[in-house]
Amino acid sequence: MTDVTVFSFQSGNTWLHGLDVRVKLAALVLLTLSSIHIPPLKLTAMIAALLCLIKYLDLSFITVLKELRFFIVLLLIIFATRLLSASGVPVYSFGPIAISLDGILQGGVVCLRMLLVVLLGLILVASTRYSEIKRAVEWTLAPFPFIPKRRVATMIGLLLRFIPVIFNEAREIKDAQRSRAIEVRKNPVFRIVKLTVPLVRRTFLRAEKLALAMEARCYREVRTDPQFNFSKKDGLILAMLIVLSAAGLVF
Amino acid sequence: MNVIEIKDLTHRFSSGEVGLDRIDLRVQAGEFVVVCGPNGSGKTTLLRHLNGLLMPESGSVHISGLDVSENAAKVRQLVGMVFQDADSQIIGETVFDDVAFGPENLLLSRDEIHGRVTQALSAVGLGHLTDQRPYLLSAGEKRRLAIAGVLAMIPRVIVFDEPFSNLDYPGMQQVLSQILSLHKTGHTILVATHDLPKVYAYADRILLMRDGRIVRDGEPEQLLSEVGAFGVEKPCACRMASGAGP
Ligand SMILES: Nc1ncnc2c1ncn2[C@@H]1O[C@H](COP(=O)(O)OP(=O)(O)OP(=O)(O)O)[C@@H](O)[C@H]1O
Ligand SMILES: [Mg+2]
Repeated sequence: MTDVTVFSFQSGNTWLHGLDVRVKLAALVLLTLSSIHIPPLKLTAMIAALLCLIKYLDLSFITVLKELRFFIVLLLIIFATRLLSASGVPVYSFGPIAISLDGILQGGVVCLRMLLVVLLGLILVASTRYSEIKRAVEWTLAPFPFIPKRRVATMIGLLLRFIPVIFNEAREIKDAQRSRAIEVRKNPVFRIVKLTVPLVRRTFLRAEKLALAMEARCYREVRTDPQFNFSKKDGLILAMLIVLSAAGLVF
Repeated sequence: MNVIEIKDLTHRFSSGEVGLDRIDLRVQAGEFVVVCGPNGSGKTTLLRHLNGLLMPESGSVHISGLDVSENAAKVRQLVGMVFQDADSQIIGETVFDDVAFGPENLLLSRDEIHGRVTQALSAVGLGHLTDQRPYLLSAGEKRRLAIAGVLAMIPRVIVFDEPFSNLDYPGMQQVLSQILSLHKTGHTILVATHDLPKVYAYADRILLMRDGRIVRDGEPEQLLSEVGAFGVEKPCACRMASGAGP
């Protein structure tokens, strides 16, 4: 349990940690939306900026890459399908396969966009406590009637709380299986089944223990939530975000 | 006054297996009680009834006069529980957050929570690790963090389930001295363990459990000669005296 997944809160005192959660959520939404429109060059610049933030949060790139490796495979598959399905003047052809500049561009943009969203999520989760996210969700839902805000917020908060649990369980099971030479079995279906069955069972057991510990300390939906601290800095960043994404839409 | 009052408590698991069988127990305020017995004798099951994590199937459990099945929330604040597995007891993302979890549930103000957490952490000697991630702590520190989490609730009874498992000698010593100082400050202490020698010298009273029943209940001196017969290791001094060798 020593090596915790990067998809969980990383304690620290950076300005990102201090930022108002609502601003962080707004940033996530605004940047995701604006990524739909902006050209590849700007997209690349945004991703570079996010990578700097990740470095700033003291997350190791190697660990991030490792944890994202399945996602990266997925991106490559998407890239390949885009590449092959796009029409346009081929720059390279090999039998029935033709690769066009359009294809490369389209595939690249889609992949960059998805990467951007994942990195944004990673930065949010790494720098925000789940209790803060719960509070922000509750605040966002406040104007809507007929939604059980507290319950929805609690559920989202708990979900975030349990993601690292699942990751860690998966890693432990994989280590245990690797130490008993599961790599010899080449059949991926066999390996997936052998991973999922104990993973589900252990995650439930683990979740039950955690729920018990929470209950023992009087957990309930109504509790002292973290306070929002909207400072000048938050206002500034929010204004910047709005201007930037509006500009992104116009130009 | 009796802090804990258990009358004719029986618990059956959903599988039909009997976990506890007609338990009667009274514990006075300030007592240091050791519950021992072999694996599977029902120690954990008994302790979980003390704060309503398990509810009596028949019989009753009262804490400070409150019926557990009617006042579970209040009782959980009075009875702090340190679990067998320290890892699964960690809830917060940092040491501070973890200790704050309980007080937050009590709807205390931010200031009061801060005060309680700081105090609890310094009581267990973790004051310098407030921002650390709990998973990175050593086993002994995790156990002490769990104790701090319980202390921040200001309980009257503190229950320890196998507090020494997985600890090296210094870790064990730290946790033990923590338990003893909590006893000195007036807490009622229950320690469940199959490792009697570690706490034998400090206990006011020892309960021996077997197959879901309390088979012996008395002062340490009285039970000393009998424990071996119930699958519990005898404390060292006694083994020497009876000539069985080290
Ligand atoms: N949820 C459950 N369903 C069925 N049987 C259970 C359940 N929990 C515990 N038991 C059984 O009840 C008995 C008592 O278990 P308990 O955990 O209270 O023992 P213990 O004295 O704490 O043992 P240990 O020293 O191993 O912690 C055991 O035989 C166990 O198999
Ligand atoms: Mg037990």
